[in-house]
Amino acid sequence: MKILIAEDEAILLRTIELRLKKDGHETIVCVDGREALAKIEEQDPDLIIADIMMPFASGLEIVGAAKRREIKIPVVVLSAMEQESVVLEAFQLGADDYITKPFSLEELSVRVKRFALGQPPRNS
Amino acid sequence: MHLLKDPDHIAVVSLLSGKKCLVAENNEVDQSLITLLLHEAGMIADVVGDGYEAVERLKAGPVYDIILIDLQMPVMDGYAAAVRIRDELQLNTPILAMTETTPEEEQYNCIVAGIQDCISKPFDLNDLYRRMARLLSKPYDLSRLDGLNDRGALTEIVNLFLTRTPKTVQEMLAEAEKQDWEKVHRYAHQLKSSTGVIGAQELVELLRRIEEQATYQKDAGTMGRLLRRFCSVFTRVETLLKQEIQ
Repeated sequence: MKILIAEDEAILLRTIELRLKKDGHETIVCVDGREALAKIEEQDPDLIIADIMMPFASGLEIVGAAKRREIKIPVVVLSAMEQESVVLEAFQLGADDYITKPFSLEELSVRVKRFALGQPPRNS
Repeated sequence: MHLLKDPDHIAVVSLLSGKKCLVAENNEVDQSLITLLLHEAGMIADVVGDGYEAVERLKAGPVYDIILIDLQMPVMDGYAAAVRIRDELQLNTPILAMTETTPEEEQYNCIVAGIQDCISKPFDLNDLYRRMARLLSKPYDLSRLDGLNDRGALTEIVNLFLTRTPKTVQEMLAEAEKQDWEKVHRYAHQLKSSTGVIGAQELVELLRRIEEQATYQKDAGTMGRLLRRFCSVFTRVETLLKQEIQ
């Protein structure tokens, strides 16, 4: 899969990238929301992993953009523990899954695999 | 009292064995019970009767691997003693608190005072051993990165952490100096992600409190204490990580 990762924390971004590459995915990395919004249009990814709290454009804006497209792109949002209300908002906008930080790379890998197999989690 | 040869238990006890513990406890029955439990794990235990005596003992020079302290004591309670141990004596010795209330209630004040963990009394001995072993192990956990399955990638992430994080810490401290709490919050939030990657639990916990302080109470004194504690734990994490990747 071609996966777009939007995360403003460089260490976490690189860690996620390394793991997904190891799983055989192609990755597009974005260090903020604005870059992510631009690259979604340019690169047409199969899946988006986006942090909720980012400079310039939030994860919520990214969910919105991914769902406004003709062919919707599935989005997994990353959130800190105390941001639960925002996670609900992300789901209302159409987010497909979420992972709470800090998370294990195994968890990330397994959740991504479900999208690759065409089994997105059912949250509606 | 004798435990099964469960491998987890063996690993825990081998971490504790030979370690020196200062126990601050005013109840004599508890004093004997705790001493017995520590001896059972092969530890050396010195007992004092309150927080003041604990501080005086530490001032006199003996070095301990861990401090076990009751929160509710006459003369000087566990919190006040912890604050003096961290601020005045500048000791980084791990502290495990014991309480007759629920540990969740005490957790916030514990973190602010520089106490890493809290256990409720009466305690289960396995729980006590496990918590002490955790405090005696490294202040981070790279097993979160096992999923990379690659030594080179692991080294890259640790190096990235070591080069980038000190800068963010400096920026957070500079903003705290100016009492710009919104920016402090932003840096603390960012640091929470990166310290989470290397599994530095105490740092993550401290950052969570710093974020809370920056959003709600905005008390400069408490913030100062949290930041000082953060810096001293961070320095320790940094030193150990550098050794790890050499």
